[in-house]
Amino acid sequence: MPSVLAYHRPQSLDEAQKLASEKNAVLIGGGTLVIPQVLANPSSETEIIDLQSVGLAGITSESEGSETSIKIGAMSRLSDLINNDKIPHLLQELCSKELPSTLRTQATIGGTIAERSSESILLSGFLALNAEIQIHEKNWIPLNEYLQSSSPTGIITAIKFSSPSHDSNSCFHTVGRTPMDVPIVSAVGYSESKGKFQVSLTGVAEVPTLITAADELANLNPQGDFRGSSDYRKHLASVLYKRVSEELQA
Amino acid sequence: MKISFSLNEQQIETEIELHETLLQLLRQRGMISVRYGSDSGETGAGAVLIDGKLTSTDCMLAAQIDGHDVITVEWFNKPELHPIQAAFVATGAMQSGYSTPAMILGTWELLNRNPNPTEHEVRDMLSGILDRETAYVKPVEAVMRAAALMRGETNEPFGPVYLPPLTDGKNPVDVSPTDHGPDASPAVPRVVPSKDVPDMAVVGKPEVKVDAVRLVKGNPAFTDDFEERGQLIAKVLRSPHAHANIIDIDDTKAVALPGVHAVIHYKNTPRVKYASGGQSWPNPHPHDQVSFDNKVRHVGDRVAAVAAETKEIAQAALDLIKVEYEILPYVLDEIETMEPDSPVIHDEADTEEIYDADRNIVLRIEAERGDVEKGAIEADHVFEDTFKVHQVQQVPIEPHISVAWLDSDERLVVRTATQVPFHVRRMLAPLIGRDIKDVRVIKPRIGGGFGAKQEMLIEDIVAHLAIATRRPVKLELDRSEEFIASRSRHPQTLTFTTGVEDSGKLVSQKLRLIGNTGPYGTHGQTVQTVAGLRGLTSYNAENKKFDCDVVYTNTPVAGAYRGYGAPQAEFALEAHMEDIAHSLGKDPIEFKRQNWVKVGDELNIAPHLGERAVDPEDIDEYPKITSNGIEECIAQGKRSIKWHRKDDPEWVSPKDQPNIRRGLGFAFCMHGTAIPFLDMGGCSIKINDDGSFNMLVGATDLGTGADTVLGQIAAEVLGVPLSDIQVYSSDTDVTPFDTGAYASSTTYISGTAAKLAAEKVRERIKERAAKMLNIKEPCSIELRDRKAIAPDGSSVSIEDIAMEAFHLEDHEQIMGTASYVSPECPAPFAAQFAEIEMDIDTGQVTIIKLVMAVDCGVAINPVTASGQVEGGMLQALGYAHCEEYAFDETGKMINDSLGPYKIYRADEMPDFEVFLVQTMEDSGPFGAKAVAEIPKDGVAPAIRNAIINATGVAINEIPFTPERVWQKIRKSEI
Ligand SMILES: Cc1cc2nc3c(=O)[nH]c(=O)nc-3n(C[C@H](O)[C@H](O)[C@H](O)COP(=O)(O)OP(=O)(O)OC[C@H]3O[C@@H](n4cnc5c(N)ncnc54)[C@H](O)[C@@H]3O)c2cc1C
Ligand code: FES
Repeated sequence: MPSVLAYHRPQSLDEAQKLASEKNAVLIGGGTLVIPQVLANPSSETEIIDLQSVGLAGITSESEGSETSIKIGAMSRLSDLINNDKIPHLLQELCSKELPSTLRTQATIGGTIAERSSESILLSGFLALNAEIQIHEKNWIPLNEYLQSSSPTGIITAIKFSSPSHDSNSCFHTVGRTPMDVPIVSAVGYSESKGKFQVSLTGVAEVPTLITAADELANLNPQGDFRGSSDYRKHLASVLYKRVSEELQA
Repeated sequence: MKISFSLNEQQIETEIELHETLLQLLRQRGMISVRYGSDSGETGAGAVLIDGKLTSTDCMLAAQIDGHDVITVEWFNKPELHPIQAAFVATGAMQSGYSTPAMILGTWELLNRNPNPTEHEVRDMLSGILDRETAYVKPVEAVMRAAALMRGETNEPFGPVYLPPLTDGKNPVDVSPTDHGPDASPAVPRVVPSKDVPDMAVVGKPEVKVDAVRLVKGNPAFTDDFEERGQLIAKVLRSPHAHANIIDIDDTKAVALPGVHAVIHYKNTPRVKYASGGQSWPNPHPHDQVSFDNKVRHVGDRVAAVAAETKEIAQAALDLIKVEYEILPYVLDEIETMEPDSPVIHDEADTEEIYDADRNIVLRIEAERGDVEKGAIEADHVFEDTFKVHQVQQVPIEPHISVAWLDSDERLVVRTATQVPFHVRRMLAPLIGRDIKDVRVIKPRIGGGFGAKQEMLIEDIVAHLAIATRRPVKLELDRSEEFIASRSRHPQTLTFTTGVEDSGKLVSQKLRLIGNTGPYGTHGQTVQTVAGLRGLTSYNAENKKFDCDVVYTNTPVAGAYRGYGAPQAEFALEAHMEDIAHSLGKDPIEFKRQNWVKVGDELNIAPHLGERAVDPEDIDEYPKITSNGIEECIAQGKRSIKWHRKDDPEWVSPKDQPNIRRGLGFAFCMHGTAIPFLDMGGCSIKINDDGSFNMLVGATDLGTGADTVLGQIAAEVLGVPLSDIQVYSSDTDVTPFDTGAYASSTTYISGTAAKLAAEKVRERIKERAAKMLNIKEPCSIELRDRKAIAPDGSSVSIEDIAMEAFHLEDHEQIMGTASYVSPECPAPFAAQFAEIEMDIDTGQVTIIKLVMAVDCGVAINPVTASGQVEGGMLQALGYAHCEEYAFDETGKMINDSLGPYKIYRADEMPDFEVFLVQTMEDSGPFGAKAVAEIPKDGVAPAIRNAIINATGVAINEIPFTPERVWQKIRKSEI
């Protein structure tokens, strides 16, 4: 009957990987999404694999030539990014926007990535920055590839991206019911150098979506809900895309 | 599983259950400052410091904490208050105080990291702790003051700023654009004193709340903070269907599950009809509910309930109950439900007095004064507008919770978070086949109610289960149940038809209203009646008519929600009046002023509406307006919002932001104070050896500060400081009767009872003092500074009088009991202003500032009164802007959690400014009128009218969510 059949706290990635392959095993980062879901179902018999001790927390930077790459361990909490000056201001703001004070300290970057939420503005920010992620025992892959794949598995260990250079520019615009509402649609824009930019949108597809040219907007076919119909979301996508692109090119 | 962690710097090793959350573990270990508000981290009421960081505990397993450090507010608790706690107390930063411990922990963490935070940083820290009461205004102030204290600075004492009046109290004035209001923090109440109000010692002063210390320390206060030995946990099986007959229930497997003690449903509970609204006897018909029915009428309706050893077992037992449903068609819309082919929601034979069950019409309400049809014919212009208002929830952070048990005399005791303990006792007794004398209801502190707890909502379930199991049984609703299975605001369709002369004078006003009560009547009659009353008393017109159908639908049940029909009606009325003014080319405030009620004007339709409505032929004299401070309110409000900007095209359409429009809006607000001849409060006061007093009141403090205000009233009469009054409320075995906390009645009704009881005590004290001082005329004696003072200056302390009475001569317990019911219902008035900014490309409206200037008579405590206005405006803002119930195609609510159902958080609030404009209301205690509900009335119409200022577009439906607004504005040229 129980909702939670076992709680494991593996000490290494290999151990975690092994445990995760068991029936009914569920990984948790912070558990902010998993735990309420598991407890709501008294007969789920879940085995919780808590990743807090496998050594995935931490933010590091590595420089190669003129380029600096920033790597964030999957078990870093959203609040760790806000308090770390290696992290670009854009991502810090998006962390604040993603979750309120009491949840940022618990929710992890790994959980946020694995959740692949269409509404995650933080994920959208990483996407705009051309971030790559690493899955245990696999090579780095572009975040976009991970988001577009049908049902990815494995333990996410880290996300990395090139530290934005001085020539780069970024911004975001959102529309929601209130200023800090989960945006109905948001657009995060990033321009590596003048003239070149891309925009990542939330609320218009099943996962955050990267747009590199305005004509791609026509292909969007968002699902509507009570906060915004499909047509309205499409309208917002083009308004916000335009705003972000104009701001980046200004 | 065994875990080890540090709790408040003590290393703990403990066995835990795998499914236990950290919140459960901490509460079970006595850390009851950690409070339940949700299961998924939405409310922050249970946030603690984990490894020094503010973190929710409800979406975390206890197992995850192994090896970590936890700090709760209990860690701070010494006899003296920590500076942070002291700052929260001093600023009145808590109302119910349910989430205050989390705020204090967050403050401590923030100030450790950053001793000099900006307001933005403070608000960001508070962003995860939802508050429905303070609007975060005073908590932000408390954090800023705590920061100063901890930096070693001293703060000025917190209290109101007193402003000179801008008007003579009667006539309007022009406010100069260069004139500025006070330069004080927004948390500081701005009080405009009236020369008619005498200075007093305790009344009118910003006294600290009597329960402040208990709340900032997180001491046991709320229903769940007290545990009975052997307590079982109850869970309710709820309908997944919007409308269905229950063909059969098979509970065999659930009953057989080890740890299950009882399963109750329609087959094994008596079918006793009742109406759940917490109202005076006799409860309005129809009595259309039973504890468990063989029909369900909304998603979330009760099907069965289980009592078991643990929540997990109870939950599992629910899954084992087999229910066979016959699914029926359903209807959610209040107009559609009256169509001939709509499903009949109450087809049972045993509900009496449904007006037209086949058309789902619960009842019709009609009232008329004069002749509106004739009036309309005679008018130069007739205007008609229809408005639609929606369903929203009260969202108290403490959900409904009740515990019932049989005491040693086998009487049934219910400890419950209710606004109406005495109504609950009376209504519960017949459902469980007991006499009233065999039922005792205890109301501890409540973590917010706002009307949702003016209901006998779950007490019958725990009572049935306690009787069935002979064990204490606790039931606490979860957040989803709060939405789908408690109560909400009535959706309505309202049509105003108004006849106006060329001069602008109203000659007739008719309100046709269809109110959606959901599948049960409860407050259906009274809420729509108040909507009629509020919709039709603000403005003078000789001919008025209210024509209303209250209808059943299959939405979650509507009930009482702070404002009680007024926010709906005043949205429609203030929108309609605004539109008439624009159509006639008149200034809206001028047009409204020409018609709004002034001192001496009759409330001409009021007596014909309400629970005790009278026919026109049976009435000699109509109630009149006795005090009205609206002109001063308008002047203060205009100055604060910088009203002149609305006519400046460059401000409205800023050149550098082509997609932005700005606007200012106004709404005139009028409310009532208590229900005349119906709302009753009792109070009893007795003296103690040391000259202090115990005061017992039936009134329920929901966080409103009622205990404090009632204490201040008694202290003023008795010539003692507030700290000499110990206020206790309420327990049906111990405290005097009170109808309960609703209808803005507590200060006025229970306050008058407190004043009368204190006066009785004062008379006895004076008589004894006269004897002791050898004075002939006791009435010449004054009570002041804890002394009875004779005209010649001789005095005796109240303590000595008490000692003499108890121990020396003519032994007696000096005490007084009084009750009060009012023949009057004096109206508070207010001017609500809103400043908005909108994005015309997306429809997103941003609220920049809300200003309310309110005439609530004499504010007994300006800090708690301004807190009431702030909290009320916050809820009204949600109503206007972002909160709404959304349903899927099966009639199920799809946004039954906080987030999808959006309530405002600290880091996105508009600026608030509150003015308390004093008038002397002679019928109220020390001049008081009500303040609790009027802030619910004006925000929606003020925002709507600001949208008109910004774009010229009138929107007759709330909330003003982006797509709704965009759909409207895209069709017009801006
Ligand atoms: C009240 C509330 C409000 C929220 N608001 C928003 C919002 O505004 N916008 C938004 O987009 N989201 C929102 N969320 C979701 C939020 O983003 C997630 O809760 C959070 O980011 C997930 O982090 P976590 O570490 O707690 O995840 P967990 O709950 O621990 O895990 C989430 C998922 O990720 C998997 N997982 C975790 N770590 C790993 C890993 N290293 N490798 C592989 N899989 C892993 C888990 O198995 C699970 O499937 C909200 C959640 C709550 C509770
Ligand atoms: S609590 Fe009712 S008027 Fe204040």
